[in-house]
Amino acid sequence: MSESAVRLRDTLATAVRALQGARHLNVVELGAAGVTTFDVHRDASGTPCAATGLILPWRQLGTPLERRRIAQAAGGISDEAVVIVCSAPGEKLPELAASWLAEMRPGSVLAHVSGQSVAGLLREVLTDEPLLQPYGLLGLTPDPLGGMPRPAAVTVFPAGAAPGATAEVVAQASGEVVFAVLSMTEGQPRPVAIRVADLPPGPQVIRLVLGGPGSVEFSSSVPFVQDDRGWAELVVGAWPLIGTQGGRVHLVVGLETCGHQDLVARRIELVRQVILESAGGGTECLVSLVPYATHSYDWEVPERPVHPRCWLAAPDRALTALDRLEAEPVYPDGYRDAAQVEDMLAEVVTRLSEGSPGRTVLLTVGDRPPHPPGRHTLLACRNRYDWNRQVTSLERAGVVFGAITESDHPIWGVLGGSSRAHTDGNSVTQLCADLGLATTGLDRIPFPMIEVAP
Amino acid sequence: MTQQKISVWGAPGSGKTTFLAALNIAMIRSNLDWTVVAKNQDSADRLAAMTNDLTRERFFPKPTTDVNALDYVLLGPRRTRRKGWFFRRTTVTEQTRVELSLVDVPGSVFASTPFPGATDELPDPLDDLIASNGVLFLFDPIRESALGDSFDYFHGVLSRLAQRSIASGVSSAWLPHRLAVCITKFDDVRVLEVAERRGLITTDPDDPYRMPKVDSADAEELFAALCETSASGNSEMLLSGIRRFFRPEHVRFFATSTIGFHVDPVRNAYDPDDFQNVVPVEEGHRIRGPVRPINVLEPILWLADQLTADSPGRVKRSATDPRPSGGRPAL
Repeated sequence: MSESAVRLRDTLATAVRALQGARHLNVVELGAAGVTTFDVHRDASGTPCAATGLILPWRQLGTPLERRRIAQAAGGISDEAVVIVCSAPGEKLPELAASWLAEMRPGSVLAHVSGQSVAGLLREVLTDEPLLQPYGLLGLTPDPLGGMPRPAAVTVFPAGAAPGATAEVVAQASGEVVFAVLSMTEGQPRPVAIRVADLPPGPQVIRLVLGGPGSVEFSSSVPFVQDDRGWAELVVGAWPLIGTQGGRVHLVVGLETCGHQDLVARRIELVRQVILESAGGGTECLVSLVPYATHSYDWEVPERPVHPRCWLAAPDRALTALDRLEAEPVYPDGYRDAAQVEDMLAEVVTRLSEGSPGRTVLLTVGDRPPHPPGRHTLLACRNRYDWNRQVTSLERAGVVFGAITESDHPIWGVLGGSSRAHTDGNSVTQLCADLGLATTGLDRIPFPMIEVAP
Repeated sequence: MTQQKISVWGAPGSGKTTFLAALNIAMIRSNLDWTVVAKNQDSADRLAAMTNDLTRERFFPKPTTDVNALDYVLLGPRRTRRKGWFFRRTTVTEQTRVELSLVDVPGSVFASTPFPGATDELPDPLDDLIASNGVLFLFDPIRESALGDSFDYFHGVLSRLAQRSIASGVSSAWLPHRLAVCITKFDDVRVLEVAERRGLITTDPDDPYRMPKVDSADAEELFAALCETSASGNSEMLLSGIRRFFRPEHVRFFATSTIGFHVDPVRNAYDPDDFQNVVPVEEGHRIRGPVRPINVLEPILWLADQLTADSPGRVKRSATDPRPSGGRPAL
């Protein structure tokens, strides 16, 4: 490579590295055949790329029209950076045009090169540029505390990594999974390279080679193929799950403890399942247990006010409280057509007003509707609580509502607003996933378990 | 002396058994000089059991499914009447006595079509109605809005009654009975709200709880309004049937409740937002608090008044006169 070519490459590299955001770099080559322009910019992932723009054969450049077209090719009067390259030194027209352009754009850089393709040099510059943002591989990473895996992007190439850099990860999945390398730009990560592989069972070492900005090659014992699906299609369904994972969740369980003994036992078992799934669900889970039964409208049976058995307790303590509750005799079944739902809601509203860490999920498990605050065919709540107002308070506090019930009463549509399951237990896993209590939607996330290879 | 007799009549589940127990309680609670006396041991035992169900057990008495007759006598205040002619005329004092023949059989006996299994050996409830001077008809508006079969029972019985009256030589188009129509379950929010919407509610200034009530003069309007909600749409014909078979002055309407409204035991007050005295429980319905019958005694007293006024001699005292019996006879 000639000295002039080396200088031009350095000039182009400096100009490309200086590209930020949505700004463009115009490279205008004035060659023996005519004028060729290149539009260089960075895409959403920060990867620089170039497109060939105008190719203009030499004509009579003495006319105003042709001068205007050449000036336009050089970015017109915009303030975009311009590198003017005369690749046919000594020839009249290229030299003349180069002087015109340099005159018109005082801030431009004028270079001369001989016997060297400007397009080739530019391609070389773009490929050789070190990474401005780190690249990460999207997957599920093990929880160091032994909980459920958490979705995360593991950095495989740090900022400044040069082409040819390599990285190795250990991936584990069964069946076809997606390997997605993301540019860790500020805000939302952007896909850089997406491949699909059908992994055999067991850990697989995956080698990644950085080809340059926007170029990553995968190699392993299994072939990697290009994925035809778009990024949006890949992450739809998975991204909401990823978004709800992690962080702290406060699970408040409102549990109806009246009714047939078998039914109450079934409800308790379902709550136990939910707590267990939440505890291992990739989130830090705190549990509050608020059992409720029926109001007493019998002067011989004292009213039993709603009181939490535990509040903001660790899952194991909540399970212990649940065990104790299960061991107690079932509360005498009083009012048949309603229960203290409104009292439970009022208690939760009061408690939450004192503060709740993280997202709050209210899971109500029962069947009977609440008592109304006033005259109704159902007897009024003894404390005159208005369940509708309590629900509104909770909604304003951003509480997520889930329910396990067999009832079709409209209240359960509200209490199960985000997710609703039946007492047969088949949909409890789905309920936990919907409420963001557990990463039980892992099978819906098409990415492998990954660890950086030691 | 002519025997005065009242029969209780209503569709199945309309609360005939409960009404009898509530009547006993109402008489005990009132300061009127009326008493229910059983005519036989079985009736006495049944009345005691039913009253116990309502007051102590706080459950509604189970509807009777057998055909044992429950016979009672209502003993009221002593009354005076004149006897004899001219110089032999004398004044006698007698205790008011009205037979209460509560034929406690399933209401289906009254159905216009014979109920399955009916045989000649079963007692014909029409015999009791024919032998009665007064009829107390229980109309359950809640049941009617769900089932809509009151007209079936009502029309069938009246047609058969009219048929037998004509056969016995009565030529009038009217039946001779006095009829007290009792709209039951006035304590139910649905019934009360119909009355409220019609502006029929009043309160008794002497009532310490100021509980709502419907005057007898307005109860017919309430009856008509409730008939409009019948499931079958037939109960609107109930009112026209009553007008067709009974003289207008022989009919009176009452808004009744066998258990009354709930009174908060702590505040000892009627709460318009919480007045229902029935609690649905797994076993059925349980009574929430003390039983305070509403308009249960009144239709009986009205009928008794009417019947004694019909008897030979002049009635000197109203059956509802609260003065104790045995006082100085009026001349």
